Amino acid sequence: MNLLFTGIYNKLIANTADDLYVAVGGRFYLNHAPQNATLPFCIFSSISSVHEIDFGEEREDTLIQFDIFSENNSADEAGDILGYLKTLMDDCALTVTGWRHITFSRGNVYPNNDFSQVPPIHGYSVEYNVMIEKTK
Amino acid sequence: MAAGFTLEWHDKELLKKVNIIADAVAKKGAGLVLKDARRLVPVDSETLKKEIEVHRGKFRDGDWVVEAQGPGNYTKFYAKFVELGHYSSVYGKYKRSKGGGSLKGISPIHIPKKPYLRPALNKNKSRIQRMFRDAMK
Repeated sequence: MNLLFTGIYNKLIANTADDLYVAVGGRFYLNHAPQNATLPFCIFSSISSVHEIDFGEEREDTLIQFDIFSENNSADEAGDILGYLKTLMDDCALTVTGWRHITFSRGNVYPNNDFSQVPPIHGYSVEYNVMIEKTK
Repeated sequence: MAAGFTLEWHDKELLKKVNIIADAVAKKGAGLVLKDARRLVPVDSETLKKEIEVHRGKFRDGDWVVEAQGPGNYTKFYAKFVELGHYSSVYGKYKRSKGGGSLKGISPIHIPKKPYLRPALNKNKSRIQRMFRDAMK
């Protein structure tokens, strides 16, 4: 799992001029954002992973969730970041050491807002289905 | 003289049979997901666990839905917050003021997700597909 997370993180930080990197100021966190982290930021984590063995082929079918949070009176910032995330990650090519990358396809997108905050928190949770196969 | 050949295709009858089988398998599959979702859900007061349920979908052809949403407003939002995680100051010891006023002075924090519905579905996906395949043989 660490190799997959490393692959995703490397993809996110590969280009510091990328729209997503610039929009979140390079604040990508695994699983959990530190307390008092500056907004906006992006968190990625695993939801579940299913291990499949089929005629000697070893595959990992993993569901990854990206969370975007922005503190802003307007929903524009979170919406823009969501767009940048889709541009960068939809069907992207991932490098995972020891594994052959097969798919990185987007699933559901859920709004994840908290309007009780001042200013309100606008957020999105995005699912990606990642399939990798062990290299022989 | 042309040879007589009649093909009778009772599609409605066949579809009805297929629907009955598919419905039974879907219900059984939903039961498997429900069981795992209840096993995976973080238990504090058991409120959420009790409110994960299976019921028939709204589509005419029938489907089955595993849902974590009871009749009250409590689980309506709570279920989603637990499944997806959220960013809020309304957590644990932090309470809103009586008037439901602002939360000034309390730093919001990221509450990581504790998914229970999606892992339950993912775990059983292949099994449910096999169940459909076997039932249609």
